[in-house]
Amino acid sequence: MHDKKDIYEHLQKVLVDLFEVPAEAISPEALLVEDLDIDSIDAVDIAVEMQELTGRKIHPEEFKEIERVQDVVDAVFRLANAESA
Amino acid sequence: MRESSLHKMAAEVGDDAPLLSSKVLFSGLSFALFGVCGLLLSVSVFPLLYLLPGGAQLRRRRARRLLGSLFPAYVRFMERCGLIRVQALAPERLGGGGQLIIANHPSLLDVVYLIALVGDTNCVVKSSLFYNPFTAGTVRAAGYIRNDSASLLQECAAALAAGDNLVVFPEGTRTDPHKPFRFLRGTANIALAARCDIRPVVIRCCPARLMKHQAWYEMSTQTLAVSLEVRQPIAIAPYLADQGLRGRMSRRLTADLEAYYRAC
Repeated sequence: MHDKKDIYEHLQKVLVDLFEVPAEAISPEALLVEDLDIDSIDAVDIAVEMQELTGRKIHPEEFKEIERVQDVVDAVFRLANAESA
Repeated sequence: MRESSLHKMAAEVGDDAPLLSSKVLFSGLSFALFGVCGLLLSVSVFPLLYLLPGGAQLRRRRARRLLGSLFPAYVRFMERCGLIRVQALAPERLGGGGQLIIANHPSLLDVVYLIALVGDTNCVVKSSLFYNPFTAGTVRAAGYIRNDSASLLQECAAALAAGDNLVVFPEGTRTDPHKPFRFLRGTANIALAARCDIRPVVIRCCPARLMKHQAWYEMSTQTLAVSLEVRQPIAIAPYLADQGLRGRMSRRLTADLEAYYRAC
């Protein structure tokens, strides 16, 4: 079981470790594409990494509506809890 | 080739070139020819190619070979009209197959010049060309790879592994002279996924015409001097060292490729 704080911290680590995103650029409101220079291929890697945290399979289409860092956190949280409920 | 010698070449051919009005006429004719041929091929030759025996792979190869001979003819037509003069430097470096060929994209016709030079090749193209009636038949018959494909990297790696050449324009669209020069990261990701060296081609066009935000009829009285310089390959090996760090490596390689072309 992970709360949103855990998920946010893991996402932050993934962004810094995998993509060398400057840590200070990351905030819940930061836009993935415009602010953090994340592209669609990176998004697949992020999905895989977040899957390792929650142990739940994440489908790329569930990432479609995502624009901000907080959207990723919310989506992962929703998935993790929906399936364990 | 230096910029100044291109200017010189443009000036030399400019003296006896037709007047501007006939330039616009021939230019319009060239565009019409491209569109009409695209349409005619879609409804005649390409469907016929489908009727020939052989699997999908053989059909694509035939379509690509056909384009490999039609594009040079089209370039020659435009040269005869006095619109352009194309010069290739070290084109023999494009022989052999299985090469990931990249180029800058200053003008509308870059893909025509480059495919005319490479001959039999695969190409990553904008998905919109799959729906444009003038190009859809061609890109579909040749089995070109859509830039919005979900399996883009796998398709490109498979094509290169099978010995296809693969032409990619890393900017994703024509150079915007009003914006900073940027490459998308797709090309770096293709090279990393395919573990394939990169063959850079530098395209120059003088005077600058058929650029982004320029209409086809904004011609010059000069013949356009176009040069394609085929350079030594860029090795992928230094970027493969850090396994599992694809994201970092694709950023590093993209930055290096941008710097390479900025220095041209």
